[in-house]
Amino acid sequence: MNKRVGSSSVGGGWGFPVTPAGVTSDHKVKDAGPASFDPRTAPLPEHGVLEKIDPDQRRRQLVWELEEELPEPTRFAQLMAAFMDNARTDLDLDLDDPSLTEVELERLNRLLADEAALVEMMRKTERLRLEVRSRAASERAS
Amino acid sequence: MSAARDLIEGRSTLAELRGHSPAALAALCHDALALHENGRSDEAMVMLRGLRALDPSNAQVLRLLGLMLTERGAHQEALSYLDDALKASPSDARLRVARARLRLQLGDGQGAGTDLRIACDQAAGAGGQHAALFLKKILAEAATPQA
Repeated sequence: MNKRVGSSSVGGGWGFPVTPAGVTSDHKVKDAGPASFDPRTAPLPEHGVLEKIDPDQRRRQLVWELEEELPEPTRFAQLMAAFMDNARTDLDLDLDDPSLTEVELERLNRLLADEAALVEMMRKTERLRLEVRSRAASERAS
Repeated sequence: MSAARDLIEGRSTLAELRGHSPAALAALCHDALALHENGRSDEAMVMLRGLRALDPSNAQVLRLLGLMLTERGAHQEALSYLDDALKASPSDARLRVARARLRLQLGDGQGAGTDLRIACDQAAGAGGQHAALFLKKILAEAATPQA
């Protein structure tokens, strides 16, 4: 047996509550001895343990977090419909404005091209994004 | 003054001209992040570049672009987005932590230390705590002689 696994270490290193005899407080674990430890049935780690195990992981999660909550599906659909409607409107941009330099004109064209690519990507990935979003919503609900 | 010139000089944005709401742009950030997390990084990048075209000083969009480009190894481009994000949102401790990490990868330990110290001072919440942890870790690593 791996020397690192023992009655005091099984589960404990990952934040699962243990006693010298093994995992406690879980009716699914019939024999609370080290050999019966099963991460699939063990109770969830204590709050804050992720930070203790791997501060980098929590930091990474924090850095990627978005400010606003994911909108509810109905609200999301409304926002996207409004966005696509607005994207279809004609802009009153005078690209022939003689005061624009070549570099400025190129920057403007770049902006418009990036915007067009976004709208095109939204069309192409609509189904996929919907699927991913509903998966995220169901994970959040459970 | 023409609308084109207003756009170029940052007096207006494409998002404003189109009438897009900030909520729609924020919702699209969620979709871009979800695509990235599901291995569709190229599509996510196209979306984020488009969002940046709509609102060039949106700190959230710039942060995500910086983070994704960091993961892709395009460090200099990532750094320019994080620089812009910090210009738009200088008190965001998380942005400082992200830029510190990138600066470390680029070998700029001093810049990283400065960012982390500012982040520690700025945020009493989780961002500041993580900045403090990170700072402690890199200082300990710096003090350890290389084998």
